[in-house]
Amino acid sequence: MAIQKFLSGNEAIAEAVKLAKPAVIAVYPITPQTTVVEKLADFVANGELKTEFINVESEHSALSALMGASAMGVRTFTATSSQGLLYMSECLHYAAGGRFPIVMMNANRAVALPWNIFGDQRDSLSQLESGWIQLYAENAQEAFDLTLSSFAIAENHAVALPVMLNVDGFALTHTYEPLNIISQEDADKILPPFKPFFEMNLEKPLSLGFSAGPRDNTAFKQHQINGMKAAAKLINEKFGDLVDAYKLENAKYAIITLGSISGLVRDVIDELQSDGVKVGLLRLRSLRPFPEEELRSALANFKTVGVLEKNLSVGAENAVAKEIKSALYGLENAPQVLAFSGGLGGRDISANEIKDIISKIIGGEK
Amino acid sequence: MKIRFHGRGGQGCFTAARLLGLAATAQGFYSLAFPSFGPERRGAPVVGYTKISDKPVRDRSAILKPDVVVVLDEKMLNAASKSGLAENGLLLVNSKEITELALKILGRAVVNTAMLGLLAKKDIVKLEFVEQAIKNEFKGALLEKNLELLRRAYGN
Repeated sequence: MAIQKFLSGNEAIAEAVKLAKPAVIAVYPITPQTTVVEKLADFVANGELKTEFINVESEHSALSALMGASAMGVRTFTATSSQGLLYMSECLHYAAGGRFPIVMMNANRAVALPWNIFGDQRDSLSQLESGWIQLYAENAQEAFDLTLSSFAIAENHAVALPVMLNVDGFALTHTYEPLNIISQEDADKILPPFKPFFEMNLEKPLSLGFSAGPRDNTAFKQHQINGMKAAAKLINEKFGDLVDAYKLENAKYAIITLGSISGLVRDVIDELQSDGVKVGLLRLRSLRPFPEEELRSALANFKTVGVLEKNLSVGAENAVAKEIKSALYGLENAPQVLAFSGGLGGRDISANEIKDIISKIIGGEK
Repeated sequence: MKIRFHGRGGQGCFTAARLLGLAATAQGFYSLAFPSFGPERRGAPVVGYTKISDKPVRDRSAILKPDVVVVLDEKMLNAASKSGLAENGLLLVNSKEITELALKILGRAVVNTAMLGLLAKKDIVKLEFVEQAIKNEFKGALLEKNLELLRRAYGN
């Protein structure tokens, strides 16, 4: 039985983490992730969540502590944002290479300088090559659902990779909306108890966090690639697909988004389609694994697509747009791909600005 | 229906926006409530937004054209707080009487729940669902006082 609550995205995630019952949580607070930490600390204080809650002195330590905990064969969770994520960067590669199935919520926020605590996606997009699965939620309900899914994906033995669940800072983390919270019984069905596929055990000693020289290093990376492929299959089969197509059936033009701006884009598409404009939406729910096959089949007959990301690549085309181009490369009559940056440093994106972007997509201009 | 609240940090501006969203949800609508984002500082101008609809609310952008503007601090009744308000829109401004009522009941000049009473009086949301939202938010003496303030403002 689900009950309806009126919660912020951060509160929704904390509720889901409570249902997932991680044995160890190590976190360092940072705006706009802080209320996740506060809510989880409340759950621990009032006895609703039994976990080893470690108040670490930095994000680097948060992830390091969780690698140790994960190596002991238990479920682990952390949350961060922006500078905190970047401070973890060394550990991000480490956790993925070590195949630790850690789940981390990242409140998408701008990175300094100029100093800015508001939402954009430059933090996580700068870490695409860290080897983590990267998922993006559109609203509080999806953030809640994907939190539970993230544990199930990370802990699947064919995957065994850490998951970064991204939610737009403020626009999602601090916005209150109605959502359904499932019961513990139903959560346990989605997410059974953690069964580690390796653990430190004095009875069966094994080497973890080892080195691999020139001869073997590539083979370990191939195993990570296989894990990503398994994640793609698992997400498509059980957790709602890597991409989310909206009114693409009769469209010739598409706008591609990720995260919470997609809701407003849907409103604009409804309005424009009722006026006969042939534009649809393709939302990326996952950037790692990257939905290359899904993009090629969904967009094969499109004329032009525009990629709207809260990101800016300095000196190159935007990160997500570049990847979309790469995915479509070699298709016969591949659609033209236009790149758009929006929402930088928390700047509001209005319906009229979405309309401007769509008219540029239709006009085929930058 | 788009409602924009204007006040200062510490006046419960966003709490009012959130409680209105919660009340509307309890009444059977969809809603979205969010603050003007950023660092929270007592005394600094803040804005709270509530969007109410019979369909899921997907637009998370700031409200530039509100149907209703609620001003918690009358000194903030200016061009910025009134900006974009529809010609037939509703402007609710805190008055001396409301502040006195809050001082009498709460012992503090916090008028957010009183303003929710005025919104209920104008039929933006039903009183019983605002009561439900307030019961969800407060406990003990503070709950009783806020319910009294809400009902007195509604009855005024």
